[in-house]
Amino acid sequence: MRALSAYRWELLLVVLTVAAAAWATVLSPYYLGFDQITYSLQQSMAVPAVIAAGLMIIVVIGEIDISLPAILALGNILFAHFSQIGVPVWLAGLAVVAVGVGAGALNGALVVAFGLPSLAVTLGMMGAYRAFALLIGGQEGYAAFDESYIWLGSALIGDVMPASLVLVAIVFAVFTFVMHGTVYGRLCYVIGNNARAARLSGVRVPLIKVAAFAIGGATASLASLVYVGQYQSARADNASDILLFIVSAVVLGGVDIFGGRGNVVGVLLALLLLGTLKNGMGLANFPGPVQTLVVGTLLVVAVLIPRLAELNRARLSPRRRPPAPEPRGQPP
Amino acid sequence: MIRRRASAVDLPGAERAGRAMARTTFLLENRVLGVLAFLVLLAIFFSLVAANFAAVANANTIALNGSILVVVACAEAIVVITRNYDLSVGSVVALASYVGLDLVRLHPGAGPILVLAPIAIGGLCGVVNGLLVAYGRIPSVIATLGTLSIFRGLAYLYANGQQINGKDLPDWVAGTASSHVFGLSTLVLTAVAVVALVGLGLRYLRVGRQIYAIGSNPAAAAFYGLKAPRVVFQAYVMCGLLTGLAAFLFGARAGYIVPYLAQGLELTALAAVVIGGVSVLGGSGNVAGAAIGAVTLATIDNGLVLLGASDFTRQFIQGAAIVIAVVVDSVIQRRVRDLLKLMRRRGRVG
Repeated sequence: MRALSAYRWELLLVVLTVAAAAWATVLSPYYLGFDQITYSLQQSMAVPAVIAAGLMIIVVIGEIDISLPAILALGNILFAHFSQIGVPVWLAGLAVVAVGVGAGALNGALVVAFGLPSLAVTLGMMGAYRAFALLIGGQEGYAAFDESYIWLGSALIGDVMPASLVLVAIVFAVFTFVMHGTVYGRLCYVIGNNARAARLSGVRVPLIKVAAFAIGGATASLASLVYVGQYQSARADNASDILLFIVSAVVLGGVDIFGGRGNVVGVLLALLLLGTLKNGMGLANFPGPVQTLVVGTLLVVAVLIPRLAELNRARLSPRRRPPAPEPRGQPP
Repeated sequence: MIRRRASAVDLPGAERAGRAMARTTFLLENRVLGVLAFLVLLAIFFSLVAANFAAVANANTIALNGSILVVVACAEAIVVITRNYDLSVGSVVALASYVGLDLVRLHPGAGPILVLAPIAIGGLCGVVNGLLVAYGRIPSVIATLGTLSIFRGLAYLYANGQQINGKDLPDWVAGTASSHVFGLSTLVLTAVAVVALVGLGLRYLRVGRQIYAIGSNPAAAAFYGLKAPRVVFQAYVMCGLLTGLAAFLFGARAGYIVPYLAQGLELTALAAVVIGGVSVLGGSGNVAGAAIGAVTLATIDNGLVLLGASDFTRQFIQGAAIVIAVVVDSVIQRRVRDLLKLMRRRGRVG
């Protein structure tokens, strides 16, 4: 019973996902089949899932990076450009991910070096990254790719399993290990909970923060390798509306937006829910802006419910004391 | 780095503190001047390289294009001063302008009083944002990212695939955008009036001072007895009302109104605010700066179009300007912090 209540949020996500799948089945009798479900999940969530894993680490340390979709677009353009000039695909993939790591690390370095709010920094960098994508790809972008370049986003492994979903599974397995099984992951939670205490106890906060941003950039560029194969298009304005989806997935997955709390499995469940829901809405012929409206509402409700419960608990508690002020130590 | 430089100068303590203070106040007071100087340099540069830039007609174009952005930037600045963001202004413009002007279209007899319709709708959106952020305690980025999609979706649902043609609207609507008072465009005058009123209000009204107090030190404001949620809520409502006004101007200027109006406006507005020297850490900066930031962006846009420059340059300059403005901001903040530390050590500030 205690185990059940500890995983209440995750359980709710599973129930909602099943409900969304049932709804999709009612809408279309063809939905309920392995091929159809994997295909539609690949379409609706493979790309955002890879980025959401990276964004999760950044949110856990108490920051945010809204330039990840722009790094994805830059990765698309670079990858497509490499395809045009005939670079072997493995080298191109490595180069694109390296650029993503560099872009993410640059964001992190700016945030850490100047103590800046990450939203404002990444807002500016977003414009810069998209500008570079535009510089390389022009207005038209690219639409033709070498066969090997689209494998990751469109191939079926053993004729059944989309390669991109296998990648998502690998990414989430790795991230589960990193966040819950390594010192680095634990330190991310420590920083998110209390960066000051972490610094005072000797944790190299700047290094870990920059690494988190770099990992975010890596996932965004990894996602671009999927994106190119899936949509067979690369333009500087690619994925400009994906931010809502990935932020919603992270928040719905139970990651505390103030940092320090949340687990990888929750994010994966939230992605499955959002992906299934998106497919259902597609089957029901919901137009794009209405689908975004639903996701946006889910995002707001998902943050609001725990807050309201918290406020209510505070109101009902017998001793109404203001929270104790943060202890102030001597600056080192 | 800065602290080291300050202590390397071997001066008697009081004089040292005095100099540091003079330097910091100079920086603080001249942040707007810096943006203004940048604007002048920009204008000179464009006049030299673009043949048509330095002409009265072109100045008019910049003023017209910039005036709506000035209003939105003022709205955004109010919220940013409280240490929050509003990412939904673009969607509020779309919703308020579509629904508001549709009401105007359906009731042609009511006359110009219906200019209040988009303003009221904008105010309602501000109420929603304010409730979520101030009373729901949701971080503003998340709350307004959600309402960004919600307001846009509502506009889309309301429009139901239709669009409003400018010629179906009463003449006074388009008249507002094209009319002149004392030889100056009504649009420009409206923007100037908004900047003046909001600027004075923030400086002299009680709620204005409270907005600065909450933004510059929330803990101190709370100990002083300020009800932070109420002030933040009021800031969002003001932001919504002003955005509603901008929505009316947007609709009046556009030939036809679609629910896709003003996409991405929130980024431009935030850029204008940040470039205009309003601190993203809250509590400092003013709407006049935000207005200058908006005019700067409009000038860059205009000059680059005249030069035939690519989208790349525009996006890159806008992005880089934000990052530079934010870095400058943090350097100033650090100086202020060091100065306060210095003065506290000398017992001049409690």
